[in-house]
Amino acid sequence: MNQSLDIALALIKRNKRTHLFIAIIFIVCLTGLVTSFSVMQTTANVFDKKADELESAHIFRILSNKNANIKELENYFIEQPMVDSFQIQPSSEPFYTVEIPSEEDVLAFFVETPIKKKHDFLQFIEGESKKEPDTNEVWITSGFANNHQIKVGDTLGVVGIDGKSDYSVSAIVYDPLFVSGLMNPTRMWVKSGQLSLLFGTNQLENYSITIRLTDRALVKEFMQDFNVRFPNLQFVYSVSYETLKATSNLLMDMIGSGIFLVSMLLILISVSIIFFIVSGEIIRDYAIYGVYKGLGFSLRQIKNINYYKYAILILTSYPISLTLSFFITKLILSAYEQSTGAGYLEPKLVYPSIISILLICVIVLLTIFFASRKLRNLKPAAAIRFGYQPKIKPKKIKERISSSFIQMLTLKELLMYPLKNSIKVIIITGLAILVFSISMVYDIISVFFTPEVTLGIPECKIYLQTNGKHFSRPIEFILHDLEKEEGVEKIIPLIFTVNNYYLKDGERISLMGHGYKDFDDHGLKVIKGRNPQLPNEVAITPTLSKISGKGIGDKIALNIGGAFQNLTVTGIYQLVANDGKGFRAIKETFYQSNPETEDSWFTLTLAEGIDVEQMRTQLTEHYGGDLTINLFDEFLDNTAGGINRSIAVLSSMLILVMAMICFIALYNLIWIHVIENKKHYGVFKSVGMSNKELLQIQLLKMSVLTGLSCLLAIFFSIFIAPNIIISLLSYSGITEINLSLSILRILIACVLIFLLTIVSTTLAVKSQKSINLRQLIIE
Amino acid sequence: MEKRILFKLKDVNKSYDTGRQSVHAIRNLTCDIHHSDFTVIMGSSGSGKSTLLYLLSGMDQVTSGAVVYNEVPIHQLKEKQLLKLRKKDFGMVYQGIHLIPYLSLLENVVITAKLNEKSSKKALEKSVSILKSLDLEKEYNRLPSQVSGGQQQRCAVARALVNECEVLFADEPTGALNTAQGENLLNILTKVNKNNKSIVMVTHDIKAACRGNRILFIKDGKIEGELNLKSFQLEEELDDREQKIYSFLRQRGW
Repeated sequence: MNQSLDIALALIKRNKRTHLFIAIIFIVCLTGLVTSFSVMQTTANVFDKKADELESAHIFRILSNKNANIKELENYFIEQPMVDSFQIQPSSEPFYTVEIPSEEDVLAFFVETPIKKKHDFLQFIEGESKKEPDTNEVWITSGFANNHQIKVGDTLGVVGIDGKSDYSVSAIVYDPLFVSGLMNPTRMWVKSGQLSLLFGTNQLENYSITIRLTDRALVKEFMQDFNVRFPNLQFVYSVSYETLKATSNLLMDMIGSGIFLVSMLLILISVSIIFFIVSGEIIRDYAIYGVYKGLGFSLRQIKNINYYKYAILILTSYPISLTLSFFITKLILSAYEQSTGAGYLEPKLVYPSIISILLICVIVLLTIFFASRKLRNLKPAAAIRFGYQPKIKPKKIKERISSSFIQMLTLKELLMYPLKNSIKVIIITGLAILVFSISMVYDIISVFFTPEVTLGIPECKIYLQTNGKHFSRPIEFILHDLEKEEGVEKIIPLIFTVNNYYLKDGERISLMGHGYKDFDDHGLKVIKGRNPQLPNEVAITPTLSKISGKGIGDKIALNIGGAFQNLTVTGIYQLVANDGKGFRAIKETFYQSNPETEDSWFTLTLAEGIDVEQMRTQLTEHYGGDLTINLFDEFLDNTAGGINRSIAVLSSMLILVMAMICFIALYNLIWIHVIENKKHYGVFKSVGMSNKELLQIQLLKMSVLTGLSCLLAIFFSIFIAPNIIISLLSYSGITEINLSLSILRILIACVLIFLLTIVSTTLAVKSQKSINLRQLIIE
Repeated sequence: MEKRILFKLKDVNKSYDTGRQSVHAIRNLTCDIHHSDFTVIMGSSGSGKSTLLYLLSGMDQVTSGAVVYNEVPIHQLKEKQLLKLRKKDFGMVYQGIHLIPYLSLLENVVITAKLNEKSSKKALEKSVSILKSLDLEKEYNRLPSQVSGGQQQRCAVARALVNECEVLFADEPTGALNTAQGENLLNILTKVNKNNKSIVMVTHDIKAACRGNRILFIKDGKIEGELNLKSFQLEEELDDREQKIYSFLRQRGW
């Protein structure tokens, strides 16, 4: 057998515990990688497959019936050769509030089930399979049911023309387009004719239009033709097939990406561990390597020892990892199957396992290659006699002769080893930047999730929405009574509408429109320019500005309530809702399109010390039939709570992993430094330097490097990171954020980073304590 | 006049554990080393001479027995107390010289002086003075790699002496030097000894051993014989001393 392989096997046997530890790391990394790739690969095509199987629509829109000639539309669809089938069904508003059994409010839209379905077929997961639900029955999607733990027989509360009505869930269906529990709003199916009863014929303003094309690839071409033909149609909700697919795969992609990220972080840790183990072993066994070379081993054969050793460990870990991955993937997929009703999914492991082992092999190979560089100049005689001798290029460095022994040696070490010290600085700076940046992310979140930036409404704890326009009494009376409620200080009514903007290629996008009497009075700010004050003025979001190419002073044509208006842009403001696509104008602008436009949202300013929950209960009792009472914090928790928690978990994990890498790297770098310089330190010890002084030198050096790293990280975090973070966030409509770092947070982070470097330095230096002084000098 | 005893060794044993078996470097060794003597320890390779030197200097610990320095049992001292001895009382010169490569000659000496001297100014003055006395004033700011081996070893002597040690230990100090450089170093050591400093030197070199006034021959970890000479005075005496040492060693199987 190959001699290098023999030695590699002997080394593994000699140090079983260390190699078992490395093998476990490999098993975890390989399992993570294979699982992540497998989950993503297995679920990647489920959406398309199920959508084809159940003939789901390729285009989905909710149309406002203003300016809409349904007959003309139907004729167009019939004549259009790209259309395979279409359905035009009465629909509720897209963001309708529904009360579910857990007493939460969720957003959904109701669509009447066509008596004769042409596409968008449903697969019944639970409940009786029928042509359509019965009166006061509703079918909900499997993902939504699973997400909110709703079962067949549960009741959903809906506010309609006659106040609150109860709808019983009679079936849970696999609806491919809206299968994801993350779809917000979700689609709910009711009996045909049911919506007229619920909202009244006059109030039924929306149609759900679904179109299945002869080929999914024709969507863009079809929509261009459609938009040219029907420029004045007002869509209140539109979501593309690709968006629906991305949302549907989001959870699995997130799980897959999460596992992938954790695996990569583990690989980073293992790479640093392997690097330092190999480097340490080379320094420790340098004389033995010299003996090998003396015996006639080539440098390649000596280097191969390490390659073989880690190859054996990877190959041993591989079958174990594959077995583990299979079971973990099955477990994740079964959760996916249960939550969506997607049916049995067979884990795909072939390509993921090949990619994973190749990835690990390349990474480990490169790590060993770089760690083995110390063997490049192995000279047997010198290696056997003196062991590893670090190459030091002496430099003349002037220092203040008045400094103490510790200061003098620290300064020398700082300047003598620029490369090693730079590596330490890079590692610590990396950790510090991560900590500071995460602290910034929290700042961003706090800016993100204010009523003003999130929804475009003034600061409030409670906001109210009208449910349709038929109230038990005139809205003015309701508002009058609301003002008199104890604890309510101020009510701000606003117009909230969905509007359209036409892109150059004819595609139209939905815009969220807010109408106020006065913006500055309500504390609604712009980041550039000023708020609109005249009916022909508008303020737009950075996203709209970007996609329209319009800035302050430009004219922009917006389809507001079915009528086009050419408005002058006076300012830019930030909005997160509707992917940052929105505009604000004074109420007169909306009246120009439709004089009957009414306020549909109200924000409440409450008196100091008012219990918000209690106020909601009180308002629900008095106005629940006419208005939906929403708590902003609850809305945030529903919409962004998951994101917040994920960010918190992910950032803690990232900091922990980075801190571990930093600790391992610093410990090993210092350990190697002391080993490499043991003769010098031995000489100093022989003339009276204590272990404590050696530790002090290393601590002082590391403190200087840590201080420098923290300064670099602060500089980076203040001047560079914000630009990166903002560019990453620009898709959500955020272009300006106050990213000032809190001094307290910097101090806490710096103290923790200093603590980490001090502990790693102390442990690394202390591990050398047992080395005999004579050995230090002679051997 | 009877010389004061500087080191008293009693039943000293030193063994190294090499895995399956122990190697006994020093076996039941008992002897005295006197103040202001230039003691030379000789013996073949592996006889235990260097081990004895490191036991005396407190850089290695005895397995059993006692090493007493100026009535202080150094085998019982803790690291902190040993440090004080190394700082103040002991100086060490190695065969491998072991100057710190990234420090200039002056810095190599100053940095040692600073371990013992709080005043940086005084540490500098002492260092400059000792380097001058060893003829190194022109080389102060040079790095070890920029001067000759002899100059490096002189600097190592300066480093050992800068804290005015009482005993100078030298482990094969001429081992890495050519003849002229070795001769020069031995002259320095002789001069140091004449200034009442005790020297304990390990060497293979009979020429170097001629500078001592007491030769201890060590074999298999035991002292096999002792040769007392009068202190070295003149170069002319060298041949005669060399003869004496040579026959002393031959008698003991050298």
